[in-house]
Amino acid sequence: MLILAADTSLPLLSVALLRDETVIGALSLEGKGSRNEKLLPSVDWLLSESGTPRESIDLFAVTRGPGSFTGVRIGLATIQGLALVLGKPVCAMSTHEAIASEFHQRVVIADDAGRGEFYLSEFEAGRETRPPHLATAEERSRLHGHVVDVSAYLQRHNVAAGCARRALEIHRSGALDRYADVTPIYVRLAEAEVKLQQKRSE
Amino acid sequence: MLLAIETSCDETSVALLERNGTVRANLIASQIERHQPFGGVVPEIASREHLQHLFPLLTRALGHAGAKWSDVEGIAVTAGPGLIGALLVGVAGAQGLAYGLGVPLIPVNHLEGHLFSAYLQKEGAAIPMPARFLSMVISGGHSSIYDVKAGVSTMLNRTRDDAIGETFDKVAKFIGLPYPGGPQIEKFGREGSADPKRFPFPVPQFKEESLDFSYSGIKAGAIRLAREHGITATGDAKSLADFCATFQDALIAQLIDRLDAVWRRIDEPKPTEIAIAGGVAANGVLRDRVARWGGERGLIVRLPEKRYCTDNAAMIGFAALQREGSATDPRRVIARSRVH
Repeated sequence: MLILAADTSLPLLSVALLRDETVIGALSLEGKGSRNEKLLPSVDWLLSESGTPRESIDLFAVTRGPGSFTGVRIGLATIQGLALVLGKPVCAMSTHEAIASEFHQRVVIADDAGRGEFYLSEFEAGRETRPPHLATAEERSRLHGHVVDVSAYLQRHNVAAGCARRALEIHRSGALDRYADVTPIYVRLAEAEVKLQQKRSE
Repeated sequence: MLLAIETSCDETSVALLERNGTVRANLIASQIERHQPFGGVVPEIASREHLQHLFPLLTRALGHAGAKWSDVEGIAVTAGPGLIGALLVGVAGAQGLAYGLGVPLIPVNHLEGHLFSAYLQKEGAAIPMPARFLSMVISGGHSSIYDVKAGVSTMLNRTRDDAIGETFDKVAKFIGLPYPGGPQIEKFGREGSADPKRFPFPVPQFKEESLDFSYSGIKAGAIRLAREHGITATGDAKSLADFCATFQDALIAQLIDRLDAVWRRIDEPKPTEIAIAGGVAANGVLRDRVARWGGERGLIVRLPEKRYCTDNAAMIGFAALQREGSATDPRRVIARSRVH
């Protein structure tokens, strides 16, 4: 089974092409600027350099965040567009789930959300036990057990490859239907929404 | 068939057009209600809404046109100007679709979409465009008259401050009418009559050589007059109606005055057609005045179908049809919030 995966939610954009568990190609690229100017060129490079016709991709895998709002939307829109016209399924998962797929024990995934806050989620042998949520720096510092820091992880691993592997597991366990939700995981409301709520509660 | 996508501001729209400009589908998901509590468009919310609506609309548009993906020979998308996050949803979606289909992608300037929109018909092929025409784009973001020659537009004037649609919206907001204010002002104005004695709106004085619009003076005057006379959405109905009618008259009077100034400046031979476009072009009183102005000069006046006034993908597809030479590789499309 040929899987094409992409993550555009994190500071390093990544794409990966796998045949079952085996990586055919993977690349990471600094996500500065508009990620849409890098995503398709990266996908195209992987496909053309590996001599893979786009029609032969069996499954698309993509991350839904948390992360860059604009980045997440670019990844979801591009991959959905591709999958829609090629008539192939999309397996969409949280960015943290793509990372957690590498760990077999209980693990907390933690990412800097800016403004002194963190995005956290919890996994047990790769299965999500608590979805992404916002936490304070204090809550982050009190975490015990195995904590994976996303920005450090990102420097050593290709997140898209993890996303593809997790998608393969999901496909094999017949759970693709549960990963058909392609809406972003923002965790945070839009700033204007927060202000409006504050105004109303005053 | 050509597929077109528009996500530059607060309407998500998808259209399918034939090469002759026949609009086979033109679906619009408006976010107006979503932005109403904020009194204006919130960029992050607009971007979120676009992604939510884009793919359901694509599938519905295809069904509406009775088309299959294999019928799509090209994809047009608004690449700017607009809200960058909003544009990127449409552009990224279009990139994926075009790359997957192996068809060209045509980035379109949103303003060009408006420029040609009066030539689109409700049904059937588009009206053939003349070699030259004037096009006046009037909306929440633009007030400009263009000289369009062989599809290439030259801007003849612009607003020094507020756009005409923005002026409608801001004054409507001040008196407590819901967003967007233009249609509200028109609706209430219809019940009243213009009373410039009671509501003396300032008339901006332009230098002889100036062709510009300027709406900030009328806006400030409207706010002052509304305050003085206690005009509110929930106040005296007759006063509200007369105020709206007078305010609308003042805006349109300047529009016609500037159109006249531009017209006098254009060298012979002058164009024989004038088109209007943009959200404000849906205003009935304005349409009548422009039609009369053109009629007096023996011009053909092209008033856009109301469905093609506000942002829509059909006009983006139509502009792309005039610009097939700008088709590009889907991998290399750049969205820009400002386009020069």
